Amino acid sequence: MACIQCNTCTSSCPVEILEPAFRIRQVIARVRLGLREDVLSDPSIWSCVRCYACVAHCPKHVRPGDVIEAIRHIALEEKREGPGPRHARAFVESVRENGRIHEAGVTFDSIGFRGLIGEGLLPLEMAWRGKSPAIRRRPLKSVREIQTLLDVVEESE
Amino acid sequence: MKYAYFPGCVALDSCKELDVATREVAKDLGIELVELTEASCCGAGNLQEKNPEAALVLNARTLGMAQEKGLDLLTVCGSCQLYLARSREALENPETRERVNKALTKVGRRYDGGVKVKHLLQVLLEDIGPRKLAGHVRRPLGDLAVGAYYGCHLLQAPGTDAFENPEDPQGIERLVGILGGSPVSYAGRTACCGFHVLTVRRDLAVRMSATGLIEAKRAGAKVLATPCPLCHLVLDVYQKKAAKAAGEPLDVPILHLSQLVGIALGIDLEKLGVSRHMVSMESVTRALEDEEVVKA
Repeated sequence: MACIQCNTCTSSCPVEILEPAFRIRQVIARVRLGLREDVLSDPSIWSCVRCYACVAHCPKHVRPGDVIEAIRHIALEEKREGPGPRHARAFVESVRENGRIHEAGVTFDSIGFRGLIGEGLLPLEMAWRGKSPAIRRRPLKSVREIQTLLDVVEESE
Repeated sequence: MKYAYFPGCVALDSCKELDVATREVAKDLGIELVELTEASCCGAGNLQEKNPEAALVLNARTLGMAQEKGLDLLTVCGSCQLYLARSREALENPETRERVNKALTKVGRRYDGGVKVKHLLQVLLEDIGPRKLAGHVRRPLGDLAVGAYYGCHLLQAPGTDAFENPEDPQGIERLVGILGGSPVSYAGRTACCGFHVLTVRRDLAVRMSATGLIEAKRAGAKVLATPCPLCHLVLDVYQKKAAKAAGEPLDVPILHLSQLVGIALGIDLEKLGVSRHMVSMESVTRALEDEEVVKA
């Protein structure tokens, strides 16, 4: 990896200011040192918002944001737990079941009952405004195609 | 003018007013939208993390649907634009395309490359063009101070699908000017709203959107215009929580570009779905009415 640890990535990162635990330059450094478990078990890798500011600015074209994608991929393959993996799985499951995202389902599967309670009155206020996502799933007519393609890709790996 | 229309998931679900507004605006401007009713999700980064090849294959399927109709793809979402454009670029490589088509064959589809992925903003500014657009304006925005909120993904689309300078975009400002409003620019207009961690770290998303909203408000924006349903969702639905986190009132109405254009075209606000918004649009309607009174 061509990284020179210049810190441009962290300086461009909008999460950095708000979340001291997440330092993208340090993640890259740990990856280079081969600190596998340390990186994969770090919950802060799920704080990345995927804005790609680091990818746009890295002078050595390391694409740090895409490194995060790869780290998360490995974490998901290893069936790691936590709010991040839980959301990623809920999302992918919704693609499989519907072809498109069923927002209410993905949200509920990601945050659970406790998370829903934590939203306070917001879901009710949304319902009042007619702003709620649809409760009922509306799968694509061709959702079987999506499932076949997902199976084909998974089998070939 | 005709496009294969890809509204994406959120503009068909919790932000369905944006899809409605896009259709209204397209009708008014003579843009024919050919709906891809069977198109899948773009992956939004989540599918890309879980299984990047699957995301590529599904997006190739969508691009192939546009190809079948001989049309370019029109998106109304920053994330759809980014992830479809990323796939489009990867699929320009013949070897990648061959590999992906091997999977697509199983469901009787294919993609041969060459479809462009265009966001509504680009279509309005480049394909319709300022002159024609200005000619359709029936309710000029009357110097309404409209803040540009690009968000992050629209500006990161790679290769030929990039149409803005990601460091200093001007498209929304130009659009606001054409519509008769006064554009408000500020550094944070290209920052991320936090949507993609909303269900994982809501606190983070709320604080990120608060940062952008405060900056826009201090720069004088009375309303924000965004090209993205995901930004729209966070900035509108979570604004009350953002205000609480920021410790100050915000009250900045949020409009999707389609809604902003729709207002200037004179389309009834109800038809543009603004009554679904969590942040009241009253200050905007009042400003527009005052303007009309002054003119009359």
